[in-house]
Amino acid sequence: MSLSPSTSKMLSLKSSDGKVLEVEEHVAVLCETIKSLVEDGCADSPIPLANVDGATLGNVMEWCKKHADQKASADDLEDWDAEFVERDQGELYHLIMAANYLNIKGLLDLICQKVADMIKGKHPEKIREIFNIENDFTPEQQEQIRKDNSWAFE
Amino acid sequence: MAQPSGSDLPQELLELIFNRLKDGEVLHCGHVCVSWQSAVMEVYHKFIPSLLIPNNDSNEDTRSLLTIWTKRLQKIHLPEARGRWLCSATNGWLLTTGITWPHQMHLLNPFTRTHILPPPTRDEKWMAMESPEIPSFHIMLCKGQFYVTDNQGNVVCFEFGPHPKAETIATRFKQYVDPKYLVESLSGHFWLVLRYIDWEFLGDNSYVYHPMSFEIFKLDLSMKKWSEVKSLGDEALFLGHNGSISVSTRYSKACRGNCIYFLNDDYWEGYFRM
Repeated sequence: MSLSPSTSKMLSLKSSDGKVLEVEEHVAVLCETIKSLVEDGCADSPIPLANVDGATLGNVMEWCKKHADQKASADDLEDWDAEFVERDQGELYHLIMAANYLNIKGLLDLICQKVADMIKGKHPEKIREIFNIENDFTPEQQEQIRKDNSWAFE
Repeated sequence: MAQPSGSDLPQELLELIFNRLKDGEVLHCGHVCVSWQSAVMEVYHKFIPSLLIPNNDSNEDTRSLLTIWTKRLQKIHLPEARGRWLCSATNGWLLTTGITWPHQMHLLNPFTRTHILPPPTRDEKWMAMESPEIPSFHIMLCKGQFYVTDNQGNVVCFEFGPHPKAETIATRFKQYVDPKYLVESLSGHFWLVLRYIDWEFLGDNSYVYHPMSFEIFKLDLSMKKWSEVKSLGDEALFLGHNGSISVSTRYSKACRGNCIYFLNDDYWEGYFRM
């Protein structure tokens, strides 16, 4: 089966909140999860994606479309990716979950690196603030951490 | 829709993220929340080094790594290091030098066996530097500066750049002890580890080492004074003449806190960490 752009047909993808997105097959198969369905001939129309909301699916397909473009150079993609990940933590959270569920290694690597870069050089309190995390250690655990690693909060 | 929280990320994704961080940064993540702490426990063990067993015969093509937590020896085929000293190990690379003059330096990745020569310096010339005399030294790179100690406990700090200078930052100890190791503790302190050994001469011109004890001193840089460290807390030290490091045992059962890992060796080579 040829997946080249010229012969690519359209696939319908249905998000968790019921939105349907029409995507060219050669773009959608960057998602290994969708690729397996297509290859096995199990691609219903529309393909239900129960774990991805419509807004996130739109973002994911925007990334896939750019990366399926044979004309894009490596430098071009790198600049484009850097801009693509400039998002708030909420959007990044949904993107990383979607990239994992849809099994898109390139996108998963990109977001993981972005999150790692956001963590670098920050103290735990700042990390909690950025990623909307509640400190759920018990007072005893907290005290132990403070004692063992007082430097971490200097 | 409520803002998602980073604490809801599945463990497998947290591990993918933490694997891209350095050890100190990973430790910070362990203090964020309970779910992040358990993911840190999964990834931190990779920061625990293995001990590099020195070769008795420098013409061997293999070297051995001892993994502490499995107590297993891993032989690595490394003909590139044949007849060479492994004098430094960092971030997955070994710096080797020839045993004889001109001690040609190589950088070697022992697993991919990639082998490169460090780039030549711009003017290919060595520059003499005014410095105190330092016989038999141990060297450490800490916060962009080189610290060197001699066998009497004098510590000299070397600053490079346009105006290189050497400054004695601490002076000698009560007694002569060798070997000594300089280590930067996880809390950023400057530690000097004294290793007391005893050797027993065997009849045939050879000898064996008997480990005796260790003493650890912390340097107060502002007062230029040493004070004894009685406990390492949850840190574990890995000592070697190719460099020494301290790791946290808080998130790893791979080694024990308040312990010193070393080889009862003739102290040329020590640990290797990825």
